[in-house]
Amino acid sequence: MAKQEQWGSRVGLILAMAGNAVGLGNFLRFPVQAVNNGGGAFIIPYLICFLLMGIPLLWMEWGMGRFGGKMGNHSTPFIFDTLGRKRLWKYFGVFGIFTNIAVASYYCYIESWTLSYVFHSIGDTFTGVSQADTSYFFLRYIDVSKSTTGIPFEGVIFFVICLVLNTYILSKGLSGVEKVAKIGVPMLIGFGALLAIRGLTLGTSAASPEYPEANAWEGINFLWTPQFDSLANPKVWLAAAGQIFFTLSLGMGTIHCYASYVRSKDDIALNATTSGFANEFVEVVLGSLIVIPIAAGYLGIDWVLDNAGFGMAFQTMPFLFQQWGLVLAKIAGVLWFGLLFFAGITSSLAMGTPWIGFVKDEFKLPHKVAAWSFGLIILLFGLPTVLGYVSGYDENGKISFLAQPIFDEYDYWAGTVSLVVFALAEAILFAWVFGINKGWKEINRGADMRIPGIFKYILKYITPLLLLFVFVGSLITPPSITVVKADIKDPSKQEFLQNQMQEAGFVDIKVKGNSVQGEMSKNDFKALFPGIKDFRGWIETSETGLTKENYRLNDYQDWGLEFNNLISGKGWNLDNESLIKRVMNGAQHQRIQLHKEAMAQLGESREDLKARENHTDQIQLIEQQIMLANIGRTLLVILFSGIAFLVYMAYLKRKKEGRA
Amino acid sequence: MNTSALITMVLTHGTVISLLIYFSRKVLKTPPKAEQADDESEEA
Repeated sequence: MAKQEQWGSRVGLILAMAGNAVGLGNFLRFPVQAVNNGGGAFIIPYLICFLLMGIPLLWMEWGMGRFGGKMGNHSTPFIFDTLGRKRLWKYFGVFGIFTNIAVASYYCYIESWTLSYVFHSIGDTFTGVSQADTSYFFLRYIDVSKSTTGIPFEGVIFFVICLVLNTYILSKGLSGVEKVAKIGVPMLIGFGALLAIRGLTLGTSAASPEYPEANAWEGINFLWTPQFDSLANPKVWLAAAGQIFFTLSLGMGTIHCYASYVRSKDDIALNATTSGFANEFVEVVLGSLIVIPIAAGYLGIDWVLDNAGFGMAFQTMPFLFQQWGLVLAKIAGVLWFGLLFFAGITSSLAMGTPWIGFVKDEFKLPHKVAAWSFGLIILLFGLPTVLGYVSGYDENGKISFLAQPIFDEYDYWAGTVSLVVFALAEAILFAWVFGINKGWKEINRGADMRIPGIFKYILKYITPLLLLFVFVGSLITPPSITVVKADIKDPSKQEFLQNQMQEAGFVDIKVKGNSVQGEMSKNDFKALFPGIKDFRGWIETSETGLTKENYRLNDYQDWGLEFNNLISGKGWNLDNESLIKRVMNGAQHQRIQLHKEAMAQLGESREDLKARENHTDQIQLIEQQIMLANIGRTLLVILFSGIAFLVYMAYLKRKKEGRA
Repeated sequence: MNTSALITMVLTHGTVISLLIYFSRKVLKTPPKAEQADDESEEA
């Protein structure tokens, strides 16, 4: 038998695993999740989920991978097959290849943005450009019909460059991946540390006449002020558990694949723990000190709360760096986008290895052919994410609306739902089918640290239960309701606000002493005010006269109410973000319905005809989004079915060879 | 910066950094296991 490929060094393995986990999400998703879930409210559930779900799942996946690798299996279909006697398990293992290909298809695209922005930072593209124009530059970049550099289809070209780079490194085998990890991970930590120091020391020094109250400390305050009442809010727990999944690259199959190249006598317990904490260092320490504090330092915390999102990395940071002067702006741009690029590539390389391992193991493909076949598949499934966008233009031909439905569908189904389904299946397989006693022995074999015995029970009971909670929670999420509570003493102003709220569509409006309170579900809000990001935006644009000092917003999901509704036969209301509503395109259909209702109210005057035309355009845009979303889903189904078919073929081949 | 935020941040950052240093040191200090052929018959 040919000598099995193995990791060159322990440090290389840990850095590759850490590089796999550390991704764009550490710098972009974590702070945004924290901001959207109440800041300090988020951190406690997040850390608890890391201990009860993240670390146990890391040990489990490393253990499964090493166990499967011993039998010559380097991808999850047949790693699962070695753990469970039933044939069905290997088809759950299909997720471990499917997710990687689907995620890599859009992840390489994001990675290509970072690469392109490195060049734009060096090339002074953002010098002297306003915040609005920096933000608009990103839209022009995504809209591939509008070139930012004069090169036609610039977005496609950078995507292909990035893909070729990934595939070339993958074609060099594990040593290529290890080399990139040894360079990329320390570099991204170094770059991140430099920017984090800036975020930590910015304070009020960046306040400008336009944003006189800007203060970086407020950003840090918001992220870190603990709010213990959040522990009772399931929405925050779901978000925290989701982030742990995403950040540690759990439920993907990459960890199994990397661990399958570990020698059977070598440690996995300490290696897994160290790589997990390396990821947490990048996320919790560095990730929390860059985007939010720097943006709050220049634009104020209110701006951050209104605009927190993935786009901040590309739409805001280049503008903020310009405030540091020409030379520093260039350096900061290269550091920031270089950091994101290294974070991205060390993860996307990991996504290539399960497919390569699978076709090498089962169909004896040479390594280089396996690697380039991965590149070709990503090109086929990735191009629709680049080209499948919907854009709307104003009278001057400027982009007024842009959505990426195929990209979003890949992200939702492969990058979110599949992770949970796969992790739930593997937790049951490992702890209940393979058996926790054998599993515990496997994790501890060759261990260089003693894992506390309590984790055996956590692995058996708590982790699967938490995963079940996350899965059910995302399946039937009740509507997210926002309560607006305003402190107003003047009775006439109270009445005025009540009327404003009533007109806007708030329900349960009441006056209690000096406060006026009203609530509205986010489903309704998004449908009624599609151009406004959230309630804070509504307050600012409405004539309520409220200021940030005299109102508060609280989000909750009323699970109790929905249970009572269900028992009393009134059914169960779903949030538009729930899995079931998502399948049915609930949010889009609700928006179409509202446009149709508004059109029904219109007469024949010139203004009304113009409004009717506007509603018709909006409906068309929404319908295009639904169509592209359905194309995205079809592609995912084709991908999953194709891999499942190959697994079946491999099974038949093994059977013929007497290996099944 | 308010006191409770400062305490939470310092505690969380301190814990994460300390544990990362602790585990990394352990990795670097543990001598590599001797090269040997994987004994598959041992595993059941």
